[in-house]
Amino acid sequence: MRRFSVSVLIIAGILGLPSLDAGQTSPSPKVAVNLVTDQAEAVLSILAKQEANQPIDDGDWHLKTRETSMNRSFEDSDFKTFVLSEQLGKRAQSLRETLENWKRADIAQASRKALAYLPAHARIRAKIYPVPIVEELAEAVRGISFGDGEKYAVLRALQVASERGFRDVKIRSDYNAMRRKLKTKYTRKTLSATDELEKKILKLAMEFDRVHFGYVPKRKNQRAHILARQGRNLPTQEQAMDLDIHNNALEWQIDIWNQISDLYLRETERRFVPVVDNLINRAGLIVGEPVLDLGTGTGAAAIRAAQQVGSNGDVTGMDISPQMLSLAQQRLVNATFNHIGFCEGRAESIPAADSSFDVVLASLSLMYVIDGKQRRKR
Amino acid sequence: MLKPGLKATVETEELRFEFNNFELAWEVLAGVTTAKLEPNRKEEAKRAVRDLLWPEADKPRRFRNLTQFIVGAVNG
Repeated sequence: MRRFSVSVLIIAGILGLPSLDAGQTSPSPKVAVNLVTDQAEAVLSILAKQEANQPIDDGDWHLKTRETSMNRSFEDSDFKTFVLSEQLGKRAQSLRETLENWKRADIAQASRKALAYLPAHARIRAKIYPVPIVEELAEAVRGISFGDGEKYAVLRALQVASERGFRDVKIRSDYNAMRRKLKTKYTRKTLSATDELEKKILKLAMEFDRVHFGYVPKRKNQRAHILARQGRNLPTQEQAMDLDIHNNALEWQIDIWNQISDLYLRETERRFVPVVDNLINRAGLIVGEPVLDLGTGTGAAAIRAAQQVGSNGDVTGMDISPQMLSLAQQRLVNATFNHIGFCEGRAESIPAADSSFDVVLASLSLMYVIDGKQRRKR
Repeated sequence: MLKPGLKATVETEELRFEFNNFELAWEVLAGVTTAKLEPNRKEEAKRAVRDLLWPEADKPRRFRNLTQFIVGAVNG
């Protein structure tokens, strides 16, 4: 079983500048901005054929050439699935309008305005692809496991880095198992024992001068975690109403737990020490196990678990209340171990890859879970 | 827990704890469930519980709590 991770992803370290086309749109040598519409137009053409129930043949999928030229390793099947998805079909008209608006926009003039705010020697060089990149990524990761979502994020980061002409890239992730594996395979220049997503990442990584797969602690990666969770949890319209109810209930609970966190640490926790003792005894933790403590609160069970599994183990304490987690984190200041981390999350949507943990603890918390169906599923 | 494929057993332990007075016990034990009540409703509930269960509100009380531990494991 793999260990838990919160999300990825920071690109840092750039050597070399993007090699972009000279300004065809703008006459100014200081501004070279091109609007590239071929992909958007090709997609819209396919959507129009689909709307008209006309056959879509191989010639319509010439996008592959462009994808390949951009070092994007979407396979045909991936890209076809995305283009022909019901969600994209519903947005066809708004996409057409967006593209027309882009074509009408005076990009060169906008760029020159932006230039006025930059130092005298500054240049603006850019290609604009009016395609719904965020939607594309959201579509790719929706419904897949968190681990694969992490890999998609790494893949997409490398694709963006490649498109922008970067040669030296640092990827930092707190999904340590994935990071270590990618680093090892990359260093050894081998694709053995890798899944399809990992192969795509490694093939693309090997085209750079250097890619560093670094580690970022969970506590320093909260922003990426939040963004990833938002992207992964984009609801369908059918789910939106239920989600509103659940979100209201969640906000309600977070507010309460934040309010009573000091009281909890001062008065509640010490009275429930026997509960934690019994929980830990029954869990039968063994050295080296990855453990999740659901609803960790101020961290009592998680800290006890960390002592049990030793430094080769890994304990994640998860809670909905930032204030509770802050108190839990403060308790680690004088701790002699560092194989424990705390993060925001909830039982219905655990921000971790499937099979990340060998043991899940939940002390005095399951009764507060809002969506029992999702909790059981997780 | 059977539904997602977990084999589960339930074990019960009698655990004890103590509060020095009703006010503190109310805060700790009822704080979450009553947090969002209107102040007058909260006071009404608090008074009702105190009258029924803790008439001598400034004296300590010991609690016996039957705590259930659900122990589950993946089948196989």
